[in-house]
Amino acid sequence: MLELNFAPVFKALDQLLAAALYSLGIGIVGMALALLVGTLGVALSQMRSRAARRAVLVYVDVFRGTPLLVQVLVFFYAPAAVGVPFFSPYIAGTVALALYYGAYVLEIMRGAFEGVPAGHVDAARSLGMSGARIFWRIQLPQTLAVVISPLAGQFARLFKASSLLSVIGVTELTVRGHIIMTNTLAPIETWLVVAGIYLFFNSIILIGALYVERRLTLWRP
Amino acid sequence: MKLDFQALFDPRQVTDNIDLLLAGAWTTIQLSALSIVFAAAVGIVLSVLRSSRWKVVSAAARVWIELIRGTPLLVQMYILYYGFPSLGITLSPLAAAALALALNSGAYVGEILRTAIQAVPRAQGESGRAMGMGFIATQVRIVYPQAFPIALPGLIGEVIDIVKWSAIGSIVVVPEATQVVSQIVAQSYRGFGIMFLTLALFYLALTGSLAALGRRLEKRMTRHRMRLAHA
Repeated sequence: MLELNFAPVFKALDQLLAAALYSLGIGIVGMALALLVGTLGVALSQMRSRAARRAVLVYVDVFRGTPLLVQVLVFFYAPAAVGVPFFSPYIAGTVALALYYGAYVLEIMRGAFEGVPAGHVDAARSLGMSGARIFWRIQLPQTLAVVISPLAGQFARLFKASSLLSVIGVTELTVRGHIIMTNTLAPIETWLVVAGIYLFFNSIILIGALYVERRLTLWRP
Repeated sequence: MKLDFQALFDPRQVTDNIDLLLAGAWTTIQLSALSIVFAAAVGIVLSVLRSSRWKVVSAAARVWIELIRGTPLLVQMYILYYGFPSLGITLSPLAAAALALALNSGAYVGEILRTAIQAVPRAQGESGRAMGMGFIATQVRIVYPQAFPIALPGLIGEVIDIVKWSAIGSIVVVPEATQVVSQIVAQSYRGFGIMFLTLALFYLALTGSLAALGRRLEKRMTRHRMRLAHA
C-alpha cells in the first residue's frame, strides 16, 4: 500500500490558496453577471411582446442544451477566429460561466416570480399601491425568500465549474494544481488537496446561503 | 484583418472531416451511456446505504455524497486519471472520464431516489405489509413503482447533465465530439464557425430528444393520476 505524503503539497499551500481566491473572484463576478442575466430574462419573459418571450425561451434552451465546456471554447476561440487580435481568456471564461448559469438562474427566478399568489398582487392593488411599489414590497421579497436556496446551489455549481477555465489558460486553482502536481510529482496528494480547497469554499457558500435564507424568511409565521 | 464569413462557415471543413466527426459523436454516445448505467448503479447503492437503519452506514453515505457534491467533476477526474496510477491502478482516459461522471452523478441520483422513496406515503408500504406481503415484495410492487414517477424529472435532468458533461472527456483526450472538433479547429480557424455550430447542434439534438423522451415517459407514468383528477 502506498503511503500518502502531503508535505510537499502543503509547502505550496499558499500558492493554492491564492489561486483559490482567484477562482472565488471568478465565481463571484460570474454569479453577479448570471443574476443580472436572470433578472433581465425574467423582465423580458413578463413582457407582452411575443418575440421577447420567444427569445428568452431560445436562449434558455440553447445555453442549457449544450455543454459548458463547448461554450467556454467558443467564447475563447471566436474572437481570434473573427480576427480580434487579443481577448482575455479571463473575460471569455467568465462570460461563458455567466451565460450558462444565467439560463438556470433565469428559470429559477421566473418560477419563483410567477409563483407569488395573484391574490397578493390584487390585495396590494386594492390597497392603492402603485405597480412599482407592488413589485418592490410584495413580489420581490417573496421571490427572494424562495429563490435563495436554489440560487446558492447554482452559485456552488458555478464555482465548481470555474475549474473548466483551466482549459483556456485562466490561472485559477486547477491550473495551479497542475503546476504543483508537476513540481511535487505527487498527483494524488495534489488533487486531494485541491478538492479539499474547493470543498471548503463551497461549504462557506452553502452555509452563508442558509444564514441569508433564515434572515429573509423571518417574516414567515 | 477582414471578417471572412465564407471561410468561417466553409462547409467543406465538415464534409472533409465527416468520418472523424461521426466517430467522435459515437464516442460521446458510448461514454454517456456507460456513465449513465454506472451512475444508476452508484445511485441505487447510495440511496439504500443512506436510508440504512445503522447510523454509521447512513452517515458514511451522507459524507461521501457531500464530498462528491462539494468538489468539481474535473478535479475528481484528475484524481482518478493522474492520481490512481500511483496507487497501482492505471485507467484509460475513457475509463477515468466514465468513472468520474458516474461517481459524480451517482451522488445526485442517490439523493433523488431517496427523497422520491420518502415521498411515497408511509401508509402505502404499511398497507402492503398488512395485506401479508413480504418486505421486499412491498418495496418492489408498492413503493418503488410509486417513487419512480416522482424521481423521473430529476433523473432525466441527471441523464442530460451526463451527456453535456461528457465533454470534459476531451480534457484527458478521450476522442469524443468536443475533442475532435477542438483538434480540427486548433489546426486551422478555417471552418471554425460551422464546426462549433455542428457540435452545438449535435448536443442540442441529444439533450433535446432526451428531454422530450422524459416528458413522454412522465406523462405515461402519471396517467393514473390524471384519470383520478378528472373523475
